[in-house]
Amino acid sequence: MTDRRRRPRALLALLMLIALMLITIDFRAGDDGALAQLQRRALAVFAPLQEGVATLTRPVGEVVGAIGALGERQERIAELERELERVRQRRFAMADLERENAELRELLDMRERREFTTRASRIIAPPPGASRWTALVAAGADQGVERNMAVINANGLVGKVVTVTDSYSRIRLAASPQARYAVRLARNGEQALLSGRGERPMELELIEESEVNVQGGTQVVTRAYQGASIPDGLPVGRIVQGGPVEPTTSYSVAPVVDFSRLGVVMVVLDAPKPPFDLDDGEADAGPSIPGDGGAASPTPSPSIEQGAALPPVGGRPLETG
Amino acid sequence: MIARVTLLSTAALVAVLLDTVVLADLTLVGVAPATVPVMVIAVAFSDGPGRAMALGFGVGLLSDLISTGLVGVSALVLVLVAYTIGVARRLWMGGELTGKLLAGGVGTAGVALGELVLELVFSQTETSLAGGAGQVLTAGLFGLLLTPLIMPLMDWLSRQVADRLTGS
Repeated sequence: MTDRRRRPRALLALLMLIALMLITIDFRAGDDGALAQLQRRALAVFAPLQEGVATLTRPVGEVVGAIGALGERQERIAELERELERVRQRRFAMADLERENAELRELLDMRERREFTTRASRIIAPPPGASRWTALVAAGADQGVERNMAVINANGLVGKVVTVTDSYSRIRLAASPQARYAVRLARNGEQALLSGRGERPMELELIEESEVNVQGGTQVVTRAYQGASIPDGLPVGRIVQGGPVEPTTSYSVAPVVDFSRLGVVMVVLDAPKPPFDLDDGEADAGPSIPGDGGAASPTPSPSIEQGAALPPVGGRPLETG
Repeated sequence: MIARVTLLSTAALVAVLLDTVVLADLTLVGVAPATVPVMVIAVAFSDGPGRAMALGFGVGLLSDLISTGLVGVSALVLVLVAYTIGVARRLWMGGELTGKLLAGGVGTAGVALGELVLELVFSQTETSLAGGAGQVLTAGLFGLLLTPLIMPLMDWLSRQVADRLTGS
């Protein structure tokens, strides 16, 4: 075999070896490893370039996108017109419900609605390979953004911050196959875990088997617990369909956020603490929840029955914040 | 040599910016068109496996570093595809255009398949068999469509560098 033939093979072996070493090191070290730090630095260097290119190309992209989406927008207009008609029909009933709601709030002594301090930011760019379900936003540590903060838009939970540099952050979308959230059903408060499934609907698993089937359309909201940075009660999705005849613990959930059309999002800078507290003794005695990255074990919600263990789902960490 | 490295580095940087900012929104079944694999395949087809592997490793590492995925995944897959295309082009007996189109389509699908397999192995994604097949086929289709645009451009840039070197 000549040197001419050997050289590419030797180079192939060398580069494969280096790549495999990098993958192994990064996989083992996780988010706190040297390579993760290098990723943050690379992001800090590269993000301004991406922002510059995005600024230059956005108008062109929007025009092209608008032309491409003409048919879809016609359908959307028709759908909105139908929705408007339905809303008009329900207006009187809604007004009555709103009055009742206001009275109930008064009764519950909820003197003011929860308000977040947020930092609005435009999505700059998804990462290479749209299947990775993250996005880059132009707000970072200088704007008060910290790791694990919740990211929302007008519809509900978008995801959470996973990487922060001085001026930029990367968020992991709630639909990401790596995302898991503690949630509850808005209708009856049943607790559950919600896992992202990428393009597919999210998967909800009830903590305890329900005696009745969950109805399709039931809203799923986030559930706060001690140590969590995701605020309580943020809409995440709706049950796609009720379960089978037999009671089940697993349901499909359609997200309320359209992840393919994210424009401006808001990072929640001061998520209110849950309206409960545990002393250390109670917290330690409770069930364990796998923490983000597998390192932390945040204390559970006191509303979870003491001694009951949260079932692991796919071995992935819970989005604890 | 320096001029060629500069050219390829600049082209790689532009390709990554193009992929992450401009093309990332044009998704079909969750897959966006990607110019980086086609560029690496173009270099493998015109210059052989050695230079293409070096380019694939560099640009793959850059892509990995600005993503949240595992560092080294894109680099590994691009190196493998660059080597395969660079070696297989010698065996191809058909016409050059058909060969380039085939290389662009199959190579890009190979990159998508490789990344998907590694992400599954390292639990970075949960994709069904049908979903994964759809993603790989869509990536291949995008590669096929981008090949007639990118390969001539890379050839032209190579010629410009060669002419400048000859002239000097």
